[in-house]
Order: sequence, then C-alpha cells, then structure tokens
Amino acid sequence: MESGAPQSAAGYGDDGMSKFIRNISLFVAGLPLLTTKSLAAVPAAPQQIEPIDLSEAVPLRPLNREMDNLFAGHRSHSSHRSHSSHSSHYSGSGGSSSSYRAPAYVAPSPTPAPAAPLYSAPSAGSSTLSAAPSSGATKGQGALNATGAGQHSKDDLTRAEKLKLQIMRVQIKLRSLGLYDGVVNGTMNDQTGQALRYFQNLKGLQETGTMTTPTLNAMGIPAVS
Amino acid sequence: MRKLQVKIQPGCEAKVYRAVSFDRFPAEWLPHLRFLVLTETVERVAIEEMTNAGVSNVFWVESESLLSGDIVVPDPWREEISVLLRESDTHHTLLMTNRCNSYCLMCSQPPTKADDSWLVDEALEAISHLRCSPPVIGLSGGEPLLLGSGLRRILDALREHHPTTTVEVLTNGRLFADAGVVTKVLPGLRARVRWLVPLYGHADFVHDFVVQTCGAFDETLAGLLALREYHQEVQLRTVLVEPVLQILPELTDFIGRNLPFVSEVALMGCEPIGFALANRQLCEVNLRDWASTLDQAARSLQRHDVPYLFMNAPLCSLPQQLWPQAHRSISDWKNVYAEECRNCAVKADCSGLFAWHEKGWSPAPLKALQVMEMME
Repeated sequence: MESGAPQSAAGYGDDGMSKFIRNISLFVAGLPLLTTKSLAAVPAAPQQIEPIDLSEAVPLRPLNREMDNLFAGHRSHSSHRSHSSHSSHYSGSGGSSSSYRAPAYVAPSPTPAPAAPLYSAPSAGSSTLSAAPSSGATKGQGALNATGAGQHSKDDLTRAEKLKLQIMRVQIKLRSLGLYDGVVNGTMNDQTGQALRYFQNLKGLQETGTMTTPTLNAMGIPAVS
Repeated sequence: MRKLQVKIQPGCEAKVYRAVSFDRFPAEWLPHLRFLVLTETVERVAIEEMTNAGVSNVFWVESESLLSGDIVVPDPWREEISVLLRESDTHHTLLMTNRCNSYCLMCSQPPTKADDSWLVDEALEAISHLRCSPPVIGLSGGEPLLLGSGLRRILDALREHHPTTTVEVLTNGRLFADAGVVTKVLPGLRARVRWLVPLYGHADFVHDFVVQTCGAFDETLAGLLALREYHQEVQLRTVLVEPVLQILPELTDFIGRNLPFVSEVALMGCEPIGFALANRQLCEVNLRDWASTLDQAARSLQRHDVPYLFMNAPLCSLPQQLWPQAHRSISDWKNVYAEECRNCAVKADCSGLFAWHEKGWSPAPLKALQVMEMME
C-alpha cells in the first residue's frame, strides 16, 4: 500500500514522503539492473544474412572495368613512334582519354585450376574409387557454367594478338552498325578512329576515337584481357 | 539430333558453326571459329558485307527455332541444319563413330561399317566452338574405343576447353582388353571421365548372346579391370531385355562379388528402336511382370553396397519402393509423355518415354497414378 501510485504521495506526511522517496530511489536504482538484464534476455534479432548465390545474382557492374581494358588509349598507328611495342601507349598519349588512369598491366587470368581429382597413373597400391552415386542421369537442370566465349584460347594470345582481336571486334561492331565501311584488319587506322568518334557521338560519350572503357561497354564488347 | 529447317546464306559450308545472335556476334567473334549469325532479313546485308570487309568466317542464318549458342552443322543444299549441342539441353552428347565391334540384340543405333573418322574432327570442332561448359557431356557411338588415339584427342580437347565438364563415355570396354588401346587412351588422362560400360550377364553365354559376339564377356571384364587399374570411374549399364531379366539377380550378385569397385549400376528400360524392333520377342517386356525380379536385384545390389538406378523406366512400370532410384534419363529431344500421362500425379518426376514408343512399345502398359494409390 505504501508504495502506491505517485499522485497519492501528496497525502502522506514527512514520514510518508521520505518513504516514498526511498521507495522511488530504490525503484530507480533497480532500473539499470533491470534494463541490462532484460536487454540481455532479449534474443538477438533473428536476422540471418542469407549468402548470396553468385550464380543467380544479377551482375550490376559494367561489362568492363577500367582495369580490364588494356587498350583504352590505343590510337591509330599514324601517331606512333614505335610500332614494335604497345607499351609506349601507357605513358599517356597526350590529352587523350581522360577516363584512362592506371597503366597497370593486368595479367591474363590463369587457366582454371583443375577441380577434378586427378587420376594418377596406375600404382601398385590400391586406392578407393568413390562409390557415391553419380548424377549420370541428371535429375536437375542442365544449367551451364558460363566460361565466357573462347576464354581458354584467349589465354594463350600475345599482347599484340589481343589488341588485334579487340580492334577487330570493334571494327565488326562498327560495321554491323553501319558506322564503318573499311576492312576488318585489326589495325587502328584513322577510319576506325573516325568511326569510333561517330559511335561516341551517338552515345553521348567523350569523343576520343579510342576504345575507351565506356565505349566498349556501350558496344557490349568485353575487353580482351 | 535435332534437324531444323532454316534459310541460310549461300556459300556456307557443311562444317561446324556456332550460332550467335546479331547483337552478340561482334563480342563473341574469334578469327579461328565459324559463326552463323541469327538475323532478320534486313540484317542479312550487314553480314554479307562482312566478307568484303575481310571477315570470312561469318554467315547469316534465318530460323525460328535456332538458338544463340547452338553448335550446328548446316546442310546448305537442303536448307537444313543439325544441332549438335544446345546450351539449354539437360543432356549433351557427341557422336564419336557409328562403327561398332558388337551387334547387340536391342541396339538402338545399329552400327554401319563405313569409315566415319571425320566425326572425330567434327567433335573436336564442336568442342572448341562450344561457348559454355556443360556439367556433363556424353560421348556415344558406335564404339568410341575404335577411335583409339582419336578418342584421347577428344578427351584432351574437352579437358582443355571445358575443364569443369565431366565426360561420360559410352563404351563396351572390350578394346581395353588390348593393352595397346589402353596405352593410347588411359595413361595420364586428365579429363574427368566416367565410363559407361554395358554388362548383360554373369556368364559368357548370356552376355555374348545379348551382344551377339563371341568372347565379348571376357573382353569386357578385362576392360573393366583395366579401367580399375587406372582408377577410372565406371558405371555399369544393363538393358532390361528378357534374356537379361531371366538372370538379373545372378548378374547383380556377380557384380557385387566381382566388380564392387564400380561406382553404380544403371538398370535401363529398352529403347524400342533399331534392332530392338527386329528382335521384339526378346526385347519387349512388361516391366511390371518382372517387379519381383527387379526388387530382388535391387536388394542384392543394396546388400553389396553398390549404388544403382533405373533409367528409361516410367514410374508406373516400377514397384513404388524402387521409385527413389528412378531417374529422368531420356535426352530432351526424344523425351515425350503419352496421353495416359496427362493426369498422372508423378509425371514431373517420371522419365517418360522415348519419342518413338508408339511405333514400338512402352516398358509397361501405362497408367496415370493418383495420389490415393500411392498412399496405399
């Protein structure tokens, strides 16, 4: 009864008042204890972060990033000092592509490591074959591993061959768009540079006449790397 | 293999091509491959122009049913195209040869004698043109071991271009009894291969009768042991024709005792085509009449701890306790369901039938299953 509702405290005498204050201070002192206890008792929010299935995930990154594009600054051959080495382009060809930054060479990705257990040559000892039932007759979907078009053959290309292939793809694309009517020869001639400018103009891109990364992305052409 | 009617650019040769959409083709283009670009009529000119521009490996094709990524061989004279591989298929198969050293009673693809070694080159081309790596690719025949080192070239090409792919080779294994063939194919093999080897009897007189070849049983066993020596994965395959069903429990006991290293045993309904039609009295069986034999065989394999599965057998032809082992095994393009299947409750899990079951027979009289029946 004594520890009644606060509004009734006014009716108590000094004795009652101090009792009330003691009660309330006890109550307040108990609060932090109570809160920490109750907080600890509350189970962590049942938020389980589901791992993202990368195979299902929609890729949001652009087709090519700057680092993928080895030949962004490649200009037509007429402006070359040296034809033998394309590395000269990396010193920055004047005031060309502004978006081109790092002259880092990205090594071609290594051929995928064998995921398969390698069958060794026959040995005298006995080894066990896995007896797990295989999916010889697959029940599942025939989903395919996209390994990219001709990826493995690209790994063997030299730098010059990669450049040539990338230019040829760009020339083919420009031809199929009707922007280029020269030959598809894999050399960055003036006509190709002009066609690239037409394309960049159409797409509202910076008109560099080179295969900048935004240009390749707009063309849907993966950089040969 | 699918054959499609198409309109195709004149001058296109009968070689392997990758079909590719008009938009994608500049991005996929490679100098050493051949491309058929799926075009609308208005886009034809752009492709024809490519030849003038110095790109000689590109032709246009017009088709409703061809898909981007298909690996095809056109027959320009008949305006027809064969689809060797299609990315969306569940089963991917390459034909190695049509020659064979056996002459099985129920052969679905009767062998021919003509030299067809060009098929090796076609397969090699198909492998390099394929842009996506399927989880599994089958190499069938005929008898692929007749190719000797040609088969090894194909396995190595698969390893090189599609290292994640498991290769399934359909072979009777007999030529592996020959150490010369073994040395050509198996040492240092890096491709992941599963060998699918048929075995039809626990004794030579049954197996040799079914494959219609003297000495085949001994050779196949020697071949299986050679595969074992090279630590290769083996799936045994047994087609359920009458002479085999007669001795099936003995066969499964034989496998359990003598070939326990096989990774699994596939018990397969007979495909009613080819020689099976000619030998109908031996090949046509009603699997439901053999339910107790199948069950006995299954228990024998279980006892020996050898995994097994059923293929080409609709669920209504099997006792229900064997359903978990029944697989949907028939290639997409020849897989159908019958009128009776329409209201069946388990159609989605059922292998269905071969497209040509109507000319032949089905593994058992078909029956739409109701949920109530299955509860019983």
